[in-house]
Amino acid sequence: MSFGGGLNAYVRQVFVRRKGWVTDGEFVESLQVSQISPGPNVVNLTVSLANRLRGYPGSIAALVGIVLPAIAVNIAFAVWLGGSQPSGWVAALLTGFVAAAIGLTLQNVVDFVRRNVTGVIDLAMGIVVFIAVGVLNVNILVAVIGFGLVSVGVHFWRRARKPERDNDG
Amino acid sequence: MDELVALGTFFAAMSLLAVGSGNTTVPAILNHSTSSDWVSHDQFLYVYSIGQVAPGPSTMYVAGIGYIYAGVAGALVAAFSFVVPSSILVAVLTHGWTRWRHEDVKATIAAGLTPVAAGLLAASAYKLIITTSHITDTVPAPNIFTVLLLAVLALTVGALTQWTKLHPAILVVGSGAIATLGLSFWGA
Repeated sequence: MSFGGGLNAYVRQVFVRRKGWVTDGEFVESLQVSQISPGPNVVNLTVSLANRLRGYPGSIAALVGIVLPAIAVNIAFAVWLGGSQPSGWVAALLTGFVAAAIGLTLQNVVDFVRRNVTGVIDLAMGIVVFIAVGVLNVNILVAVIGFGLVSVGVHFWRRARKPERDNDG
Repeated sequence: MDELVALGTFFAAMSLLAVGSGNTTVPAILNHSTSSDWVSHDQFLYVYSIGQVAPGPSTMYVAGIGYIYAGVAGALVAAFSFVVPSSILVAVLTHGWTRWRHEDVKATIAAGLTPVAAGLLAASAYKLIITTSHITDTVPAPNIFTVLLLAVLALTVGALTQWTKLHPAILVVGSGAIATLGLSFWGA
């Protein structure tokens, strides 16, 4: 699974190439952990790498460091937005922001699907999850645990039927 | 205090359910934060948009939701509740995962979670799109024109992100400028 390609690539550039803090192998293992764990990917990745370098205090420092600037900007915007309903040119400007954000999100979806979803079974599972959560409003707890178990189960079942593919890693 | 507890418990749960990417929780956060009156639909869309261009993880738009509902304390509680539980899991797993030498099993789990994440991401985009019906009445332009411009801007930004290296912040500002020109002078 690869997501947030840009930021993850940047983190690799710094931790492996420029600073030499971790080896490529360690980076790949942290990337795996961060992708299999829930939560924002780039946060997970930096927390995991910092944990290798400086233990739990390192993880805490990395977490605070990566989220604080984002929190500050988001609070500043919410302060500016205030409580009143925007109208006129402010509403128009914000509508433009929303359009762009939806464009970025759509591109994320296309990119994620193209990189990661291969094969008819995965595509079908993705469509089922989309309809369940997007259209039928199925609770996320039910969706993640239910569909997650089914999908991981299907993958283990297929792996068991094709033992020669075990070595693909 | 009740507000902070409500924000904390909800976002901590979201933290542990965000499979594959932080943005897979958008449908759940959108539903819960608007039905609980933490934010209105248009406020959700606005804070989500800014989250996309703020430095660092885009999911920190939850700080905007927390601020609107419960001030700076609410913003901090929402943001940290959303990243601390998953980060603890990651920090603990970092050691166990590396020692556990079953590469094929690990790869199979990851491969199984991928289509679920893909479906959730697609649902996120869909939910955001249908929620825009809440902002078409806020601008002076006729609805049909607003919807068309939204679609053109979204698809243009998506295409430029896919095929060029333009920074998302530039695209968002540009999109805002075009919308300001296109939508605010109707009837003026």
